[in-house]
Amino acid sequence: MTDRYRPNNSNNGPPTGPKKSYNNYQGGRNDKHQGDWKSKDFRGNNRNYKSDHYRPGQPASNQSAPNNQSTGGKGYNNGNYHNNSNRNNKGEYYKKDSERGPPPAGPKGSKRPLDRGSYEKQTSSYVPGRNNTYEQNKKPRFPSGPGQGNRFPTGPSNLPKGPKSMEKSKPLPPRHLPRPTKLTKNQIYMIKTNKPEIFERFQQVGEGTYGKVYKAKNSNTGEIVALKKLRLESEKDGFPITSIREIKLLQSFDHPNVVGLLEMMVEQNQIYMIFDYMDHDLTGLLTHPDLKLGENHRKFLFKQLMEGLNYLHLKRVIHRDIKGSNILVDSIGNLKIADFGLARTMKLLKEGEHPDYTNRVITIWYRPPELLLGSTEYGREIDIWGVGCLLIELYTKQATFQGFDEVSQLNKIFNIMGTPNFENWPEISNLPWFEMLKPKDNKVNQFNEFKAKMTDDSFDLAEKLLTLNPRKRLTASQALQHEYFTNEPKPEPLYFLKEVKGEWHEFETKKRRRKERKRLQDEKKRDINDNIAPSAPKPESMAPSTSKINDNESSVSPNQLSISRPQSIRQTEEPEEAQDQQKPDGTV
Amino acid sequence: MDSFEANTQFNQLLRSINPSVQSLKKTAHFAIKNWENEDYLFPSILDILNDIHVELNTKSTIFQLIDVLINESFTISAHKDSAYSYPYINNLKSALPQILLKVLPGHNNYNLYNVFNSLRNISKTLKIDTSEYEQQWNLSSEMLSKEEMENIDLNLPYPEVVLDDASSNDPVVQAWELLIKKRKQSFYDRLRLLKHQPPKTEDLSEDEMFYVNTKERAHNQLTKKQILLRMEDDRETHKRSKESLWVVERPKNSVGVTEEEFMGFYWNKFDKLSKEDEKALFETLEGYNEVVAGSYKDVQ
Ligand SMILES: Nc1ncnc2c1ncn2[C@@H]1O[C@H](COP(=O)(O)OP(=O)(O)OP(=O)(O)O)[C@@H](O)[C@H]1O
Ligand SMILES: [Mg+2]
Repeated sequence: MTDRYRPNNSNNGPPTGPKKSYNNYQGGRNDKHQGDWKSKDFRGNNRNYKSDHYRPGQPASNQSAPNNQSTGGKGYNNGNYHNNSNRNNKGEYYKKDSERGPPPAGPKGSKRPLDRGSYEKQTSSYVPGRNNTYEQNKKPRFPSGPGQGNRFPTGPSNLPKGPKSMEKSKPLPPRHLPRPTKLTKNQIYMIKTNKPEIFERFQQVGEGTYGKVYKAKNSNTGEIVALKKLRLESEKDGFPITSIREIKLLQSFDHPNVVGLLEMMVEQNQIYMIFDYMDHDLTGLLTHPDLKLGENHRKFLFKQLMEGLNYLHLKRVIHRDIKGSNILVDSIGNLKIADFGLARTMKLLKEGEHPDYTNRVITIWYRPPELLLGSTEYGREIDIWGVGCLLIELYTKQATFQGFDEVSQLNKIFNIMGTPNFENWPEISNLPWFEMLKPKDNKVNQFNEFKAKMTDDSFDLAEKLLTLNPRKRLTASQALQHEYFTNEPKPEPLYFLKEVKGEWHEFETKKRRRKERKRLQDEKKRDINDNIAPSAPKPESMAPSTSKINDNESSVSPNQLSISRPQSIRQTEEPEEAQDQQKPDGTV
Repeated sequence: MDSFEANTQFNQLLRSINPSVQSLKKTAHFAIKNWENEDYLFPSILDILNDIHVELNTKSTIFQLIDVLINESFTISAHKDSAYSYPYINNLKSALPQILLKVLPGHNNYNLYNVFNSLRNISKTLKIDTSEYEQQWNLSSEMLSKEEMENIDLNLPYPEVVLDDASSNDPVVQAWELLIKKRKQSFYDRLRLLKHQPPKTEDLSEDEMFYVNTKERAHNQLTKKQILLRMEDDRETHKRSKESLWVVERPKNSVGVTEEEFMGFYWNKFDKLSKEDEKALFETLEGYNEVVAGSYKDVQ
């Protein structure tokens, strides 16, 4: 049995009829409440998680802090929404999903309590006037305006604004819009079905640390989607906190260059996030042997990357895992930033306060020097370093700094960018591990060697993105002002990609490489058997010893094939449960 | 437990110490429980710091242990009906300057940052105001005197940092003075290197860049493996340090509304506040304060 929730993320006007939503998780909590999450609030609602699911509404008001307003008000969010929370008489607490449009019809000032116990009731209209001890209404925080990048047709921008606030026990101000009587298709919240499978899976396209990603087709609509299966660790821990963070963030996004969560699905005790399917990821695409990118195409890709990142940074979100395999690209080069498994919103700080985040973030090749030196007080700049690396990769098709561990990674960086000196990075001596990794010699900057591989503009931009000192690194919005994007040739979609055979994700690339390795090994075996000669040192013994690269590819020698890509640090951060069974061909 | 046995066990704990909170606390609690043998156990701490075969990572951990030991001894003794009377604190405090130089030997200042953090904690526990020194720590560029800058130009080495036997300052303050000197030394060494070492154009190996790779490094230097281990340890310490931040004990009959709900309720709407509501607001707030205050380890 499959149950699905659909979000009410259309803007088609005020919903009326039967509607109900749960946020089974509760928005707006911070890390501090981990304990509550898992044990109290969360487990209480576990039943809901297993038996059905919801489609998230889009701009979630996931911050209770006032400053958020300044960063969100960029016109990305459309419509007004409000957020009701209700407490029923049992004292249980849950929140109304964020919603577009004015509140639905109901008795004036009704608080629309939710009856969370029974799904059957979903088809009935709102239960009016429950005696709530608590309710919470949010003022609309974002200006209404036309939507961008919505999956569903967005409604007219002149929708009436919702009531400023639904004040407790005061009647609502009169509303002037006629209310549609019928719920449109886009506004359905939850679908529960007995069909064995709604999504017909084609193949696996990704293997993350937290679960697998499949390409699939919605058998009702024909829509091609990506299913990302959540890895649910042991039952007793409840729903993984990291996934909650991820879902919560995804829900709040509304930008063409950032993936949007279409819906959540629960099927046979597995939970899936559902996204628009994208043909390629940047790592996969760049390994395509015949791919020839023009300058206009590179600009097209990189501009979108910067736009997406700028959007996130304006929303005070740090991605913390920028790398090629987390950048998705469709069949004409439209680009979306994906994988928010490590992302977080920045803390709001008073003067003199320090953020204090973990420095165990970002896959090592894309990790900036301040993190390698132990910084816990970083900001958005750490993502900028990563996109700087990716800009070069668009030209060279390979990662620029390929270290095996923190020490060698920093050595690679210093060898190319030069060792920092007192003028360009005076604050470096305040970093926790600086005394341990203080350069004992001076190296001149050799970055000029990349000039030949790039254009003048891209080289200049890359150099500014890859500034050692995080304070002097370009911000996303500054980068977008760079001449690179305005000088000829102008950015242009990659229409030729349509002709490119196959779909290119890091996963398939790895698979190909695995096959290639196997072939080489088989060959070697045959050689050995043929010659009965004493064997040369096994490739394994030449492999760099590294704890970070703990997928089965770490046994490839760098001289034999290209170095295997390091995985996200999540792998080392969260103990892994037993691997799911996977059929050899990667299908299910 | 007789003193010999206590000392043997304590030494075992010291030799196998790691920077996890459990290990540090276990060792500190053992010492406190055996306070009657302080005369034996305290010198053991000094012995391990004097041992040239003990690596610098371990010495850094021992310094963290001293931080934890002082804090635990203080907290436990400060308790209303405590049977303890601040064991180890006096001894550790007076030996602090000497200990500091053992953890930061010669020009090997790998442990500078950790010592800074621990010393800050210790000063806080002992309620000694060292904000002046903390400020000096941060002002690295203005740290050096004119004379010292000239010495850099002349490529002269920085003088060894040694104990000032004549100083009559409080030993904690003395430790801070030494730490600032160490910081200066490190800064000076770097400026000198930047000034006098001609920059290389050919690629530097990890060993040339950081002096790390060789397995058998000279005494008091870290190998690459030790550096990577230290990083992992520091991350764990950092993670743990945050884990206890939010621990709030919630007695059964305390406020029934979570802080989040409370915030949401009062923050997200404006409304006329009735007398009754106002009363409820302050009562709930009061309730939180009690719950949180009750969760502090050192009773406020
Ligand atoms: N919407 C999508 N369309 C097509 N492919 C996708 C989509 N989302 C993810 N993938 C593929 O699946 C891979 C893994 O997805 P994702 O990065 O979200 O998972 P993850 O578990 O967080 O991975 P990791 O932590 O290892 O980076 C991506 O690198 C990409 O190739
Ligand atoms: Mg990923």
